[in-house]
Formats: sequence, structure tokens, C-alpha cells
Amino acid sequence: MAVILEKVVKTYGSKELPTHALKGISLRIEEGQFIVVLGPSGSGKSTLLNVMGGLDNVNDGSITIDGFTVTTMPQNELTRFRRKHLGFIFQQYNLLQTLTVRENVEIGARLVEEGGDTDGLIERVGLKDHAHKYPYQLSGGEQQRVAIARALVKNPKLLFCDEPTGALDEETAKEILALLQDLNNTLKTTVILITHNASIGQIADRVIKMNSGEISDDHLNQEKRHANEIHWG
Amino acid sequence: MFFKHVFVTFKQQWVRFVLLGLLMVVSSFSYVVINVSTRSVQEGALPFFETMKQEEFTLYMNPFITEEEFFSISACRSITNPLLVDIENRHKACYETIIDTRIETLRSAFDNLTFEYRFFKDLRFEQNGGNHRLRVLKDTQSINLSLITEGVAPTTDDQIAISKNYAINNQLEIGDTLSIDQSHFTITGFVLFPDYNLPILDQIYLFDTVHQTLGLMTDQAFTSLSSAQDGYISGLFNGTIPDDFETRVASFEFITYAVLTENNVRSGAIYAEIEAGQSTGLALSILVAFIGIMIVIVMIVKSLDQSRGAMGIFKALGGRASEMMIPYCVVLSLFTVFFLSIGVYLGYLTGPWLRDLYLMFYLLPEEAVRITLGDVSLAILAPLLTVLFLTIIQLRKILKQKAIVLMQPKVTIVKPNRFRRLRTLFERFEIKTRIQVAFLLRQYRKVLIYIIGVVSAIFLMFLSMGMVNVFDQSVIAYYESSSIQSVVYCDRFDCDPKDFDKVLEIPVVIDGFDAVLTAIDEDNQTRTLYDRRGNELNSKLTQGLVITKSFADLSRLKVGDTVTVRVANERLDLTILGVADLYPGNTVFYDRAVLSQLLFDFDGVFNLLYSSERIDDDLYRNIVHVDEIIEQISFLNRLVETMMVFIMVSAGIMALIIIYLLTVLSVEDQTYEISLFKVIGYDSKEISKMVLGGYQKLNVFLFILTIPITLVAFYVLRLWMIQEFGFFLPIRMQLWHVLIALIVFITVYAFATMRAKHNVAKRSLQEALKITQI
Repeated sequence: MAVILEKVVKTYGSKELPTHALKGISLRIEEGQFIVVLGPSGSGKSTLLNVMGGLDNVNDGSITIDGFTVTTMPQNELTRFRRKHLGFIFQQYNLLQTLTVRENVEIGARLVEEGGDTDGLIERVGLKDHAHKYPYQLSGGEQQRVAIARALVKNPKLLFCDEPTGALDEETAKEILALLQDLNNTLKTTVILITHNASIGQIADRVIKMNSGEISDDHLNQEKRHANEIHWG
Repeated sequence: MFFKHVFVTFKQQWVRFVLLGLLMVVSSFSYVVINVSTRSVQEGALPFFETMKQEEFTLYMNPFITEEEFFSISACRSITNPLLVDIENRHKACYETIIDTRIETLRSAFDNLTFEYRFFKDLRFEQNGGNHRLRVLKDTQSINLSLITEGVAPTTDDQIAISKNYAINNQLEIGDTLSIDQSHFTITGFVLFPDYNLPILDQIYLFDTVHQTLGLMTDQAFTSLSSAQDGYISGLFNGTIPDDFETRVASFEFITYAVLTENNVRSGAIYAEIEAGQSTGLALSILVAFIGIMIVIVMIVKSLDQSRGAMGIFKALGGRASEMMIPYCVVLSLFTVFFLSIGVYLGYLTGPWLRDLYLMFYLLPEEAVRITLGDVSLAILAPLLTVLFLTIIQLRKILKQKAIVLMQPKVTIVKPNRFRRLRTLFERFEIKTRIQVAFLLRQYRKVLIYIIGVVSAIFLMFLSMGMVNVFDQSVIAYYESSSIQSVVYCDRFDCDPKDFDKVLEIPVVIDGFDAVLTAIDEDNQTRTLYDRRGNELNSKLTQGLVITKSFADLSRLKVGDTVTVRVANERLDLTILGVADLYPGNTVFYDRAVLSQLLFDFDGVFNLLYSSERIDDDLYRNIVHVDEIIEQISFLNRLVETMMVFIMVSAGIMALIIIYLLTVLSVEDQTYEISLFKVIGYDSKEISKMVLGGYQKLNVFLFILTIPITLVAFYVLRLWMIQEFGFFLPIRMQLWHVLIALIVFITVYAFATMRAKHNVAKRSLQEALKITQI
């Protein structure tokens, strides 16, 4: 699923004191790519993810995903588009604490007409034995696996990952990244991962660096590594 | 500084705090209005009863001469009819000796008790174009003394004192004239009698102060009235109730049964009314206050949680716990006291109105409404201290945490073991239902308040509708199920039956239960009895008793039971052969000719006539027309309907506030989930179903649950009324009650959730995800 951004502008704050989060970003992401967006705090990478995922509006420019211009879509249509094509993973896992692992994944599965393979996904992320546990009974890595399963159970074409390893230790983080890499390889899901950790760029097909709302670097990673092999910075 | 923070927090949520304030107003209002008005009635009534020597019991007499009296009193040998009314009319000496003998017999049997005859005469007269009823009570010497509240007592034979309520309702004043019994009587004053708190003149519990009045005349004028004299014996215990009093009294053949004042609707209903009024007021205000306080606490806890960060910063900067607690306590106290005081003030203002409503029915002295320190303390201080106590506990709990913890988002862990069994029940349901259940269980405290509030509101709606036409269902249905148009009370032996149906109606005791035995002829033209299934019962009357459904409820007797009927001097063993689907209190039916033969060896005795056509008032002296009874009942119903509308509206408002506050709060509590659902692709409609859907299902469950609760409550109420007063309160739930309550409830819920859904739609997609994880 290709993503095309053309001169995307996003400004926060008042007219008198505007904060330019995105300053005319133009970008093309090819289907099946594993993209890592790097940048320090305040560089605009989270805003980029939000506008690409239709979670926030743009002030100017356009975003087209698989031929659909999401920036002009009415809210209802955008919701339908999101449920059909997009998946999200967040730093804080964002699970429902009142539901079991299986139920959390079912929430995602329910969005797909054919129901989604809940048990298959749970098994695939290595939580078969934890399906009836509650999130607080799991480690951080396990919770993130649940979040991944929930995002992937509806088989999205595009997966947005917002600092998915930000709250994890190195070993667990590598496990999660390996899982994402594996899913990208086997399911051909386009992955857009944003992080401030430059080491993660080693697993990407393409690395985009951001600074002050602009793309400061955009290159294909010629030395792509498996997550287990990366040097953690 | 923290004061400002607290104040702004409250200001931001002003709508819900105002609604909460309204709940507090309702709480203190209902307590104060009922308490001050019932106390006012009580303070007027109790000294009146004390001073005017209210009877402590009533002995209802056998309306016939007993066998012993007939043989022992020589003046009675020549009587031709055993009815006392006839003897009084035709054999004065016999009658007076019977009365004196009866009193003397009682006095010698019970040394310390005081007995006195209470004589009265019932008349009908024309007033304002209508046929009105008058009961003239003969003045007494030692029990049930009359009290002139305005004007003076009658001193000449053309004067009368009447009930003030009746005078007001008929635009009569002291000095006006009434035409009674073909004479003119000038009203000299307004009178009260301690044994008539309600103007109940016969077996039909019609306490109507528009069409009927009590009266006081001089003894001479009383004697001159053409109506037959009737009466009962009033008594005082003088401090000690003799052992087995009721049994011993009932052993005298001339007494049918004894009723203690507190069980007598006519003279004692006010005691139960005051007691029930005060406990209802207290229970209602406690219920509303409980719900109100619980919601306050929920909102305070929520508000405090929202201020965790601010508290953390303040604590990190060295602020003391008290510096943070005091602003909350002060603002909350001001809020609580303000709204509770409004309720107290409104309650005090409305007190006289409710007192006057009582006094529209009751014949009691007026007493000014006053409010006491105790009222204010209970209405304001008790809820205030509860709110403060719970707030302080919550504040201390929060402030015990370290500053750094307070500055981090709150994470609530739900223990899976809690409600495990309940959750297991829903395991097979689809995920949407499980989510709804999980959300409800997570907020179980809030849900509990919701359940109590909603069930109470629905119950109040059912109660108010159950009261609609409550009098119709007993008395009107009793007459409408027959073709009776007029009832003639025959007070003479020579009462000409013409072509009308003869009836013999007498008080009896059936297996220890007081009852009115209405004996009708099998082939009568006006009254055919049917059971619930529509089977005709008249043909069974010659073989046994047919009891009414209300008497069956009272006595727990059923078809097939053999009972002992104590009637006049006889003890009759009869079998119950049917239960008529009628509710006129403690009425039972038997065959008139058979009863007459059994009692008098003659089958022609009767004391009532039923007519299927309206009888001309000139034909008999004492006629009751059914259409007039229905008119009287309509008056009572109008008052009840006013109360019903009041309760319905109050219940609706209460339900609206509770449902609104709790659904809106629940939506806010689920900000995180709502945002999450939106992000992963759920639309607002689906999210509302998941977040609010649990409440919808809960509402269906609660509505259904309230139906059996109400049915049980109505059953208990009916049982209590009939056992306490022998009065069948036909309060029932009907299909249209359920439909109306459902419509009101759905409307209120839809209105409340509209706002909640608006809040769901307003939630930003990504914002909540960054704030906190619950």
C-alpha cells in the first residue's frame, strides 16, 4: 500500500504564536516497505504519524494512501478507511485492562467482516498460554505483543508504530522488533515505525530522519539487519 | 492559590454540580416538607385528642335485641321486630332499658374502664343543588367531647355546628342556614369530634368533605330529628388495658366486635398517617440523599483524580496536605449547605400547603407549621458531614501518595478474581457484550448507585400510577358490577319493600375477623356475584358463604373452608363456596331468606333495599344513590391524581438527573477506551454501543426487575392496610402503567444519553492515548 505525502503542513497553537510541526513534507512510501522515522523530541515525527493515520488533520497539502486522499475524507469515511486498512501500535501498549488477552485481540478482529484469526495471531505472537490472562499479569514485552496481535488481526495493509519499544528493555525491544520484521516479511504489511532510537534504523528498508518539522535525511538502508543483530545505542 | 484551582475545577463542571445540587434540594425538601407538615398535624391533633377524651376503643353492637334481653326486660315483651332501630322507634322504654343494661353490664365487668354510648343520626339534605349527607352526633359527657373551633356551640333547637372543611367547600359561613329534615338550622360554629378524624359515615370508606359533614345540635333538636338513632359504645382504658380485653368483650352477646382506636380508620387513621408520613419522608430523603451523596463522592473522587497532577506539583513544592484539603472542604461545604438550605427553605414554605392537603381530608385543628433545630440538623448537617467525611477520606488516600506518583498518570488495575463468577456467565457471549459487562463491573460502585436510583425512580412511577383511580377500583367497581342505582336504609319495620330487592346487612365476626354480612336473595335483580373466572355464584348462597376477594386477602380464607360466623346471638358453621371478584373491604355474602329464618324463625327480615332504578327521595327517608357515591369518589380521585402527577414528575426528574450524571460520568471515565476504539477504527455509533450499551441492557434488566419488586411491595401494602385497618387498598399494577413508565423511562434515558453520546463524539482521537492508561 503506497503512501504519498505532498507538501503537508501542520501548525499548532495560535496565529500569534504558531508552532510549525510539519513544514511542507513531501514523501512517497512504497508498498511492503519497513520505514523507520527517526528524530529527537519535537522534530514532528509523532505528528507525521498522526496525520498519516488520519488521527489528526493537516493545515495544507495532501496525503494519499493506496489512491485514497485521506486529507479530504469526511470523518465517517476516514473511520471506515482506518478500520479496513490501518493498524496502530503505541509505546504504552494501550490495552484494555478489563479484558483478557484474547478479548483485547478480539476487539480488533471484530472490525473485519470475516472475523479475523484471533487465536492464530495470539499463537503467532507467542502468547498462546497467556490468552486468558489480563494485561497487568503480563510483562511489558508481552503486552506489546498483544497490541501487535490486536493491530494485525484485521490484516491491515499499513501498520503505524509509535515508539513501540520506548518502554521496553533492550532484549524485549529486540524481540518486538523481530516480530515486526517477521510480520513485515511474511504478511507484506507496510510498516512505518517512529522512534528517537537511531539503532532501530538498522532493521529498516528505509530511514527517514526528521528535524524541526522537516525531513533532514531520507535514505535506503543498504545494510539492513535482523533485529537480533542490531547494536543497541 | 489552591482555592482558585478548586474553584475553577468546580466551575468547569457547573452543569453537573447544579444537577447534583437539585438532588440535594429534593433530599432536604422531601424531609422537611413531610416532617414539618405531619408534625403540625400531630401537634394539633394530639392535645385535641387528650383534652377532648378521644375514645381508646369502640364496641360495635349487635343491631338486634338479644334473647336474654328479650326475656329479662319486661318492657320489651311486646316488640314485634328484633331490629334495634325499630325498637328505638316504636318501643322507647324497651330501647332505653336495653341501652342502660348494656352499659351497666360492661361497667360491672370492667371496673376501671369508662364506657359511654355514642349516638348519632344520619340524614340527607339538599345543598348547592346536590344531595348531601349529615351525621349529627349527640353530645357526650365523658368521652369524645366536641370542640368548637370557631363560633359557638348550638344553644337553641334551630342551631347547628358543622365541620369547617364542609363549610369551606360549600361556601358556607357562620350565620348561614341549612335546610335539614324540613327545618331550618342556623350555623353557629365549626365543630370537631375526636372520634371522627375522617368523616367516614358508613362501611364505604368515603372521606369526602364536600358532600358530607358532621353536625352538633342541642339534645332536644337531636331527639326531634326524624331519622333513626344508631350508635356504638366508646370507651377509655384509663391507663390499663385489661387482659384478653377483646375476647372478654366479644363474649357479650350484644357486642359484635371491639376495635381499638389505632385500628379504626374513622378515628385512628391519623396515627398511622403521621407515622407513615414521617417515615416515608425520612426514607425518601435518605434514599435521595444517599444517591445524591454517592454521586457527589463519585464526582469528587473524579475531580480529585483530575487534580492529582496539581496536587503532586504542590506537594513537591512543599505544600502541606491541609493546605490542599481545606479548599476542597470549604468549597464543598458551601456547595452542599447552599443547596440543602434551598431544600429546607422550600420545604418550610411548602409545609403549610401539605398540612392543608392533610386537613382537606382530616377533621383536625389547625396548627402553625414550624421548623426546629432538629429538622435543620438532620436535613443539612447529616448530609454535609457525610460528604465531608467521605471527601476527607478520599483526599487523605490521594495525598498519602508520593508527589512523583501523583504527577504520573493513574493506572487502575482491575483484579480478575473480582466478579469472576459473574464474568464467567458472559464468557459465551459476543465480545461486544463482554466489553459492556467489563465496563460495568469496572465501575461497580457507580453502577450500584445507578441501580438504586433507577429502581427507586421506576418504583415511584409505578406507585404513583397504581394510586390512580384507587377508589374506583374498590367502591365504584363494587357498584358497577351490579345494577344497583339506589340503596334504601330501612330504619323501620314498616319499610315498604315495594318491588325492590330486600337485603339484610349486619356486622358479624367470621373466625375472629370482623366482617359485614350482606345477605341477598338468590333471585335478586340487582346483584349477581361472579368469581374471577366469571362463574355465577348466587346459586350457592343458600348452601354457604360467598366471600369477596378483599376479605379473602384479609382472612386468608379460601373456598372449601368451614368457618364459624358469629351473627347476632347465633353461631353458624358455614362453608365458603365461592370468592367473588369484588373488593369492598370485609364484605361477605349469604342468602337473605335463609339467614332471616336462622336468626328470627321468619324469612322476611331485611334492613336495606337495592333498586336497579333511581328511587325518588320522597319515598324513603334514607336513600343513597350510586351516582352520588361515584361523584364523591371522583372528588377523592382528583386529589389523588394531583399527588400522582407530583410524584410522577418528581420521579422523572430524579431519574433524569441520576441517569444523566452517571452516564455522562461513565463516558468521561472511558475517555481512554473511546479514543482507543476510534483509533483502531470503530465509529461513534459502535463506540456508544460498547460504552453505553451496558447501561442500556442494565436498564432493560432493572425495568423488568422493578416489576416484581413493585408487585411484592403492593402486595405488602395491601396486606398491611387490610390487616391494620380492614381497608382494602386496591393498588395494582396494570399493563398501561408499565407502558407509560417505559415511555417516560426511555425518554429520560434517551435525553440523558444524547448528551453522553455527544461527549463520545467530541473525544479527540489521539489525545487520550497520551494522557493516561486506565
